[in-house]
Amino acid sequence: MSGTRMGDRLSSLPDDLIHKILSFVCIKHAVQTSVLSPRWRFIWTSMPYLNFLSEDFPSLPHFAKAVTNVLSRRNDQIEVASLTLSLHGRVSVAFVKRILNYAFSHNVQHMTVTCLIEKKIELPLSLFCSRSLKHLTLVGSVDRSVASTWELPALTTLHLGYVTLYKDEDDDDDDEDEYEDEDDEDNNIFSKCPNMKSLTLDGCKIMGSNGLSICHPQLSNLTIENGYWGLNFFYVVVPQLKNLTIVNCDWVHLSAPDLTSFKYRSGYSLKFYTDSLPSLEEVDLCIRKPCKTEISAIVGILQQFHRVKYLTVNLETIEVLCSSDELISNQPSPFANLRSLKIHPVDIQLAGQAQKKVVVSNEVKSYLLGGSPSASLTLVTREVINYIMKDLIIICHASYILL
Amino acid sequence: MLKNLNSKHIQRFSYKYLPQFPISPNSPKLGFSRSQIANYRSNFPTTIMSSSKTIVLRSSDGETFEVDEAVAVESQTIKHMIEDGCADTSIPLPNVTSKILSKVIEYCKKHVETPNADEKVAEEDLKSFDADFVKVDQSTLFDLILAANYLNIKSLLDLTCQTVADMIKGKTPEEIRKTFNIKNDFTPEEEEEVRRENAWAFE
Repeated sequence: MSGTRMGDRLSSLPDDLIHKILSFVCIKHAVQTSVLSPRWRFIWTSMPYLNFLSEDFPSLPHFAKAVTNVLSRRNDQIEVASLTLSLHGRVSVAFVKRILNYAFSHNVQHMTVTCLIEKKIELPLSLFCSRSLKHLTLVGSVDRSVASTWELPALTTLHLGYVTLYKDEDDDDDDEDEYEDEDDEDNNIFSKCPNMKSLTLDGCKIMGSNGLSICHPQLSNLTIENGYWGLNFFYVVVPQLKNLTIVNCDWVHLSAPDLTSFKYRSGYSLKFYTDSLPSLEEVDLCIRKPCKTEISAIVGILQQFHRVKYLTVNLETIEVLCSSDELISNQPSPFANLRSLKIHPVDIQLAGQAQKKVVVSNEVKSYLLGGSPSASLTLVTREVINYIMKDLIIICHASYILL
Repeated sequence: MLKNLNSKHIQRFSYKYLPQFPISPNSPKLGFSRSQIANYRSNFPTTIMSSSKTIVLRSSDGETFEVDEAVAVESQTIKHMIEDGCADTSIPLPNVTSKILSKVIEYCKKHVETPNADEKVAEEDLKSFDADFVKVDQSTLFDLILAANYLNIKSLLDLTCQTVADMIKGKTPEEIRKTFNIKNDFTPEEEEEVRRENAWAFE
């Protein structure tokens, strides 16, 4: 693909498109382009994207040298639109602080900081203080003093992955007198991010605390996955919440009256503050390892979804409902608006029940579908999945042999 | 409503169903130029009225392409033009040739259609489509970058820029110059100075 006939199309691109191309290239290569021709000499200095990935460098001292050189030779007048920082080894907090402060002083809008090391870096939340930052992704860090909150007035999207927050228990006593309203002000670390629309907490931990509460007036998308929230509770009180995803997170107390879409993959311990969810349209419910003793809790959860139009439930939950019909046998169906009901298995290999044919009892069917005669039902059985899996395994084996 | 169908309606609707009939493998999947329509008009009967709104795009060399509105608004530029009410007859795109515009339309159509399917399958399908889409000569690739920038289609711009970036990665400056035909206007002293300035990058 050489460009012998047509001349140099790459250099004739406008600067901002060359910057876009260089943003996909390691910073070292981007600086190397300075030697291509006089046109290219200073292009990299006005690049608004900074990607500092320590895995691109043979050692941490090399990485540190590169960062120092880039920050000092870069055109100071140019803003930083986005900063990506990936740390694959032990670097000092002062070093990280220097990079972050450079970005903040240049009105950064997107920031992604990833720390991929065994022993996490301590990055106190107070480091992230910027009036311009809109999107922040932070993976793999530790903060030992959550009493200080994030001050990010422009933030709309926040993604925290594998972050450990230490709640300082001694602070609780001091703060109680200062805050008149919400007594979970102490637990509310997002109070100074008023414009936040999307929040994702993936694999985060709160240590030294009873639990966590998320109370936010503007939040519309919330995703919580694989978290360990302490021993007692996890309150979600978000009046404007539209989309909620909860995976592997138990003991959630939920108040989200405006909810339209809900995906839940966890245990039966889900509690609702509000009696109904009037805007709810879509629910994907998967209760892990349900058992007979929890049927009333499960039925209670299903009743909360009475306005739903598209419902997906896992087969295990339906089987538990079928196994003891007393609770639902004479009850009217809570679903009046249902358009489609999908039932699919999650556990494909069930010990000792592999050959058992699944039959959804009539009582359960009428409980689920009785109120919506026009609803469609899709039932995926384990046999079907097993057939598909067998085909896939054969294909995989065949490709191994060919290799 | 089968009102009075005039020739404009007939032309518009007959080629809406043409993509389903086997045509030559090189023809674009959506978006037929007027000359192609003229060829088929005599052979195919008029068809039922379509209900989705369509937009007419005019390339720099005068060819027109009719696309579904949902496909056209993948381009933020076109979307704003429609919202501002500048799209009554056709939208002129003086910076985009018909060859490039038909490719862009193909990309947008694929990316609008696919999300309906199952998630994982759709993702793999899109990935392989994207990989094949950028297997073009350099000239077309740069034209696509400029078109994606002008039409403000973020995913296409990211895809094409990533492709050029992959052509730069792992090459020495001399190899990059060769690939892209960049003329080295430095004097040896200047080049030495640049290498010294950024010595850490050339280690």
